[in-house]
Amino acid sequence: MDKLHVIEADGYYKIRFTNLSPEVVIDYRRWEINIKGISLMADPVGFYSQVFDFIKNVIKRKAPGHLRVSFHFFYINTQTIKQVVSFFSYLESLNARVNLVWYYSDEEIAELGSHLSELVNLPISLEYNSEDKKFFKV
Amino acid sequence: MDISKVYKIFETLMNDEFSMIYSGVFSNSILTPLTDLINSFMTDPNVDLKKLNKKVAYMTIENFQNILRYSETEMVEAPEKDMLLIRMLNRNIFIITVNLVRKSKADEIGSYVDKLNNLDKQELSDLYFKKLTNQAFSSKGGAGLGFIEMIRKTRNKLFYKFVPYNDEFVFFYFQIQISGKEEVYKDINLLDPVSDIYHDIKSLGVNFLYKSKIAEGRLMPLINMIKDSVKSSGNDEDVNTQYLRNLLSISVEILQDIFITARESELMKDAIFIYGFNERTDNYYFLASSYVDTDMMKNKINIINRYLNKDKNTLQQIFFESLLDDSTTDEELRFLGIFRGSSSFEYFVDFQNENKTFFVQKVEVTKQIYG
Repeated sequence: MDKLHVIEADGYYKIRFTNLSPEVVIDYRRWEINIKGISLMADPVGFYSQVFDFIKNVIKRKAPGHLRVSFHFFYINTQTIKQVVSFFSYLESLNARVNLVWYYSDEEIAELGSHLSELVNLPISLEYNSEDKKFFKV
Repeated sequence: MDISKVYKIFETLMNDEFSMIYSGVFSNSILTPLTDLINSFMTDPNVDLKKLNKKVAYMTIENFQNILRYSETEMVEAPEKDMLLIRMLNRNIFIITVNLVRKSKADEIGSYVDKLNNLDKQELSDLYFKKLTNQAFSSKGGAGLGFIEMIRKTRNKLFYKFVPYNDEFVFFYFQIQISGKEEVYKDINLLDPVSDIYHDIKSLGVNFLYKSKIAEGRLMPLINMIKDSVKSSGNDEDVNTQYLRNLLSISVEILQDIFITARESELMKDAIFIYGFNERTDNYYFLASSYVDTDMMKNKINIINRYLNKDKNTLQQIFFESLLDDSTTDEELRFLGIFRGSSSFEYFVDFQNENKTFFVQKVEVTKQIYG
């Protein structure tokens, strides 16, 4: 797994999407984390452990009181789901108010979201969003 | 040249609107040219399956990665190799993989897939989320979730078969089907002819095979496929820039020859294009075959015979002179380009009637002159 390339800009960190991995934006002014795109990498553990470690470090340093985390996957492999579930557990353990948003563009991702919401003790809202064009590079 | 094998593959895939085989080194760098090719086909105005484009691309990637994750083929000696085959028939897409797995796992996989094939939509969904909740993931991932996903996403049965290899390993053949016309064409098992194809692919040393229209928009993805596949072979010598450049320029000449002269069937200029490696001579080769109008073929043979046995220096001289000579046709220039850069050229012609002729050309490109 390649080392993660994180871009730092004014008020946020960003990891660019590729044709197999999603875009990650960590806005630490408004405390919004957005993960959006395709998750089809061969080694999801390698990718997400780096992403989530990075996020955990930011949160640890800045200790936000509230946090909005949104996921918008257009295609997700099963190994990625496991990584997302374990990130949910981490979010539950935080001493902060966390809102989860699960965007979907199709039935499968919607169904997945509704099942995942049963696995987590955090408010999670399911919202339809059709915008996915720029992520389809494959 | 083993024409009978090529012709047999051509016959098996004859009615496919599109087919593609990858059997080179499986590495993630192949995914881009692979999905580019699928994309160029699915979005072709004559095909118009844009709606399925993403699904086919994603599921190809998943099956490709399953080979990366689970194949045990590297545990045994060459010429055994992994294979990914994509076919489109009657606007249904079939993604087929062949790889070795441990014999001890075969029964488990087989009975699990059988069980899943017999579940209805609700039962599959229940099982999927039950497994997801239990988080009984194996170190490599799945817990069989991938199989459930594939049925849920394709709404077709999964097909498989096991073919003996030795005491420890068996060949695992696996197929998913993505339906464009669901109601009339469901649960079709295309695994039967795959054993023969796999066998021929191995003995011909094929790394990549493409069968469909050679349209202008496909040239770049095809050339990128060759480039990335040679690069992923990991052999530094092969990636030698001059050699790779020569390989690519010859492939361009051959692809253009098919593009211009392949006979048009109803919608498509159908052709087979193969890129492979000849273990015996240690050379890469290209093989192209298609139907050509018989009149056109006679002209082609004249050109081939005029230049075929000339030595490299003479060809080089003729080539540069021809560039300034207006009477030289584009077709002559193409063959001069092929002959001066290649180490061997073979062809086979079958005059089937006064209209159409089956034509096969095979070009090997030696490394020696760059060594």
